[in-house]
Amino acid sequence: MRSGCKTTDFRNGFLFSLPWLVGFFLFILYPIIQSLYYSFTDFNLFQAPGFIGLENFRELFTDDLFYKSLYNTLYMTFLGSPVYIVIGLLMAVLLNNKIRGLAFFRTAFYIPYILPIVATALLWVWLLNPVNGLLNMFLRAIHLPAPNWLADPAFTKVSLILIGAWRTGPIMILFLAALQDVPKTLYEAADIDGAGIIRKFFKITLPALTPAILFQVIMQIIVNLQYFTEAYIISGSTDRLNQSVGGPLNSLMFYATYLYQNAFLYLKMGKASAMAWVLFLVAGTLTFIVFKSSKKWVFYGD
Amino acid sequence: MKKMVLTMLFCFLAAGLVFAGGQEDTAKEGPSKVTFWYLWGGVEGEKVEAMIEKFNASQDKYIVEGLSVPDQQKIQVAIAAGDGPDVSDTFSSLTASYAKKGILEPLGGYIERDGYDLTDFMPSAVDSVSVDGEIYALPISVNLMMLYYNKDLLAAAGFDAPPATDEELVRYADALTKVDASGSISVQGFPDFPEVYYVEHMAFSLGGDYGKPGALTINTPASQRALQMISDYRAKYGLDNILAFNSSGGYMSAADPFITGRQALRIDGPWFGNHITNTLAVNLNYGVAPVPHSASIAGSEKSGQVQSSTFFIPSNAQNKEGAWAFISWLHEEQQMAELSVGMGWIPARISALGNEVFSDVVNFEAFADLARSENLTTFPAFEGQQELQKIVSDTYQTVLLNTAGVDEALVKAQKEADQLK
Repeated sequence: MRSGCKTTDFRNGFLFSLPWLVGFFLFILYPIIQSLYYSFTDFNLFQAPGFIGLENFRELFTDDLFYKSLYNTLYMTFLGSPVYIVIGLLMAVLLNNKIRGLAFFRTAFYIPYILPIVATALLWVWLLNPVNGLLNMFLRAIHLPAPNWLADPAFTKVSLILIGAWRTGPIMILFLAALQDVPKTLYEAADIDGAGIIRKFFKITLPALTPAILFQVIMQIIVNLQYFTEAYIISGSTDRLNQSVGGPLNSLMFYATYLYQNAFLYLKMGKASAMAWVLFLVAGTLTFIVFKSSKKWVFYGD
Repeated sequence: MKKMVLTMLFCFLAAGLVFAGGQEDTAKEGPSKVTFWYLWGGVEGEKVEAMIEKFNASQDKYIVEGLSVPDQQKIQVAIAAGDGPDVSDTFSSLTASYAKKGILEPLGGYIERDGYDLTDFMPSAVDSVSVDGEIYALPISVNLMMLYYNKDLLAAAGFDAPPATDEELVRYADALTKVDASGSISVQGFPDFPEVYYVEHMAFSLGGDYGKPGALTINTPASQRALQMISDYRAKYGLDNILAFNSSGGYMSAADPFITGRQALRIDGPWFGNHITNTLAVNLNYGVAPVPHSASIAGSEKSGQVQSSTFFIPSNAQNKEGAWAFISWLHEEQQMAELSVGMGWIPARISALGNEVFSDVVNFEAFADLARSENLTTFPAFEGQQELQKIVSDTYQTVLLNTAGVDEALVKAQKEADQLK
């Protein structure tokens, strides 16, 4: 069908995208703007919101638990992300060679990610039990210190990183895909020049993978800033249901967990909305910094 | 273009007809409906449904329809949207918060109009559902904690009765705790596990409380003593050893330290005895006694904290009369006793404590005896109640995990509590 007129094209295009636009405005844009409005009120879900200006933000910035939750979340983001990316990258590089049982190994490393997270979190609570858990039994057998993973505040987040490292399947898959795009000719040229495996990795593989690494870094930042499920399950297994959860010395109180508590336990929707917008600013800033720095270390094309 | 417009118009008309046809005839004769959403499910839910059936059969003015909704948020959101039930249940720890937000129907008017007698209820239970002198919910049952003790372990150490005061508790703890060569604890002589029950109840049992809304007190002699005792115990036997012991068996599982005879003293609720004797059917020689009171604080015998399960009417309920008829019926002595015995609760009415349905319930006499005590009190009922509870548990944590001393922790906690609204 040929329409000669530009305005007809525009009108038809607009009409076709209207359903999506309506959905976007109603269910995404409107609630976002509403939450910005609520962050300046004392909304408690049941009564009409009253305007209180910057009081929520002032309360947040004088709240010790707010800073603790931010610290815990940034801990996961800056310590967890590199661990996951390095492990995923290593797995991808190792499983990029034609070895026997390749399909089996790739599947085996991916499966932990598709298992239901609640069930696996509860399973890990058992594995990490300081007295009867498999991990500590193994550590004691080889005469290494066996800490109390879930009760010692210094080790609770390390346990969560351990669980996260076990679930790095999708990171590995992404890097595997990116590895296929590295031109074989580069490796052949390097072989001719007598380069060893390590040199090939750092001079060819790594630079070629930097776009994929950039993508992963940004994804990990966004995902870890919203970290909730595992922490909620694991700290909930030691605290009580429907009560506030935070783990020993609030070492498992993450930003999203604290936001959830403020919203649904204390019914302080205004404060929770304020927290959401602060997180948005933090995430935006971090992502901007990563993008800006990416010009220095990411190689596109050849 | 015309075709498109006509088709859309037709679609809207058809949709409108579908919705219009779904309206019910509201001018019906017969019993009016009362919707009741409750948090229980499974076997407990069935017990609730049995009471609902009884109510419906006992009169023909109202029909109660029950629905099991175990998700507290779902109920909150439905009430906020105006689609909530006529009756629901919650815990006394949330009553003040809900009341301040205007979602609870004040019950004073109904109580006066029907001459509903509240003097039979435990005073602390009524306090837990009152905000600024107004009653916002009816308490059906109370949560009481007592000291469970292993008679064999006590006898082996030369004791023929459980510890009655805090000073005795400290002596008993030393005599009863057994440590093996590497320092790990084989028998725990102090009610350290589960930590959360000690944290929530010990200060109350020593005759302390947390004050009144507007004048909250955390830094009290009772709190200091409670914290000092457990802190000393952990310092003496080693924090790591105690944490390891506390992880060595899941709470109320078959490997639970008390159930497997490795813990001599334990603070727990009425369900614990029922679990040991009936559910797990373990042959454990144990007894139940009031949690030790303070030797130095006068009048602290049989003190304790009361938390209650409550029934409330949302302020935007459609059928408030029906809702009141149902909950006032449910909280009469006979119904309260029947529901309590089915659920393993302690009823909130003093008269119900003597009801014959409880004659077979294990340990009931001990709990009933404590329930009649005049020294029971409750956590202050106000809007920031949950936050105060978090301050208390965080304060205990800093001391229990050895990152703060007792005095500095309590001073800090008092400052934080003073800032609560």
